[in-house]
Amino acid sequence: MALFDENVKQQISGILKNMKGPVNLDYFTQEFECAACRETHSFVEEFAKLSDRIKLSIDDFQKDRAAADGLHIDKIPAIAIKDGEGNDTGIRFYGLPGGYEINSFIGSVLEVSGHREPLKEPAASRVAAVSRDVHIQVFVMAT
Amino acid sequence: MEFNLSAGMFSSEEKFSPLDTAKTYDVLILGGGPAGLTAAVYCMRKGVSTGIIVKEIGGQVALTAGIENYMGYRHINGVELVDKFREQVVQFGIDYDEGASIASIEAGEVKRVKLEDGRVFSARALIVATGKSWRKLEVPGEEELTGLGVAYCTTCDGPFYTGKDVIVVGGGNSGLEAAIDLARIASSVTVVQFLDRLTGDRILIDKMKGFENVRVLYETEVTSINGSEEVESVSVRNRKNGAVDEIHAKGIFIEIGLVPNSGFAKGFLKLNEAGEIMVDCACRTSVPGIFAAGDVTDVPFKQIIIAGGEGAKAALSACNYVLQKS
Repeated sequence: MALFDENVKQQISGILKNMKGPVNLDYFTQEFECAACRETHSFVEEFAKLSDRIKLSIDDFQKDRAAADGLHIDKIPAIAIKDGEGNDTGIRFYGLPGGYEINSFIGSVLEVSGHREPLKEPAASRVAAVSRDVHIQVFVMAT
Repeated sequence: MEFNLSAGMFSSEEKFSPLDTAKTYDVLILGGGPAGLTAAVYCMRKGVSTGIIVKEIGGQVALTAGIENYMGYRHINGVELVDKFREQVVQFGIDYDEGASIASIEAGEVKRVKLEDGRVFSARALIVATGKSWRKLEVPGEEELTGLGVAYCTTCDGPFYTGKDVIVVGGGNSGLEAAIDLARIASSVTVVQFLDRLTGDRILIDKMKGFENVRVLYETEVTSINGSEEVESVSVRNRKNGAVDEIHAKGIFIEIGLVPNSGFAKGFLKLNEAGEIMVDCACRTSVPGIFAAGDVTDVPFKQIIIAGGEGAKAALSACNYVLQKS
């Protein structure tokens, strides 16, 4: 059974028409897929069909270990979003972007396609001035 | 697997054109809560040139957690409902301004709206839908410590006070609901009530009294909120016998009602004793060509669905006014 109903498919295709350029999705799974990998696999397949500008490649977490390590992917299912030239953006979705997360996923695809939303000043200068590694973790409450 | 797609999030920015000071709109809507946004949809569908000035989109609805009495939704949270309202307005490509406050309005064939930043916008008709804001105590420490222990909304800020001692000011429904919400998570809740009795609904009073960590101080007023970098204590005074006390608390929730955002209309539009803009059943104010809708008016009940209905009426009245004049 398809994950997206007709209504959602149409809405998403409409939104994806705003893509400014191509985007590459790299989906990591493995040969013996558990339910989560299987469902996310269907998701990326269906999603990629909704725009000509989305190119999907499927990688095996075990067999393509070098590729996974190169992208610092240590768990699956994982979707890595790369730009039109295949360069990594660092954006990862682990698990199925269902519920409200579909919006973050689509937003990421649009941004990588060329809809940059640059930081405004003075924030941009302050961020550029950060001179050491910083690890930021954001915790979101579901209520 | 469900997908909660917010299509409105992705509407291209060209849909919201900036509000133009050089243009004379048919209708200018002041306020982006349910009244203002409903008015926007009605005006745009009528084909009159429309602009909307919004301070914080969604108004009070955006700060509400659970809504169960807006028709069509058995249960929806405030932010989601506002998103849906916004999506419905965005599709019309309305001229839009966000973030500014209104300083004054001027009547005449063409009405003028002056913002606090100096910009002036013009329109043949106005719809005032600026809603209400929380009433302040106006005691020392309140302003300085807002966000540092002084709060007005338990939905927004309640969770920060888990395990702490808090104070709730107000014994009406807002105060009782706040006390109930906080009793579940705070260490203790002290309700400070001005009168000698609670004025909220019986059902809420009984519910609150069921919590062992809640106490009520009657005929008591707050005289100051104390603390250097955050709230440390609250000073109170018994209105009957003058006794003073200092209560240690990390948070104080001020729930003493709402005031209409009608300051810019004082002396200009007829207001009732509570400062609400007086309107007739067609949403007309005391000035021809100026209409008002929602919580800022003297409509007897303040509910989202009522504000929406009033917004629709005000829009239709405003459109009739403009179309008859042309």
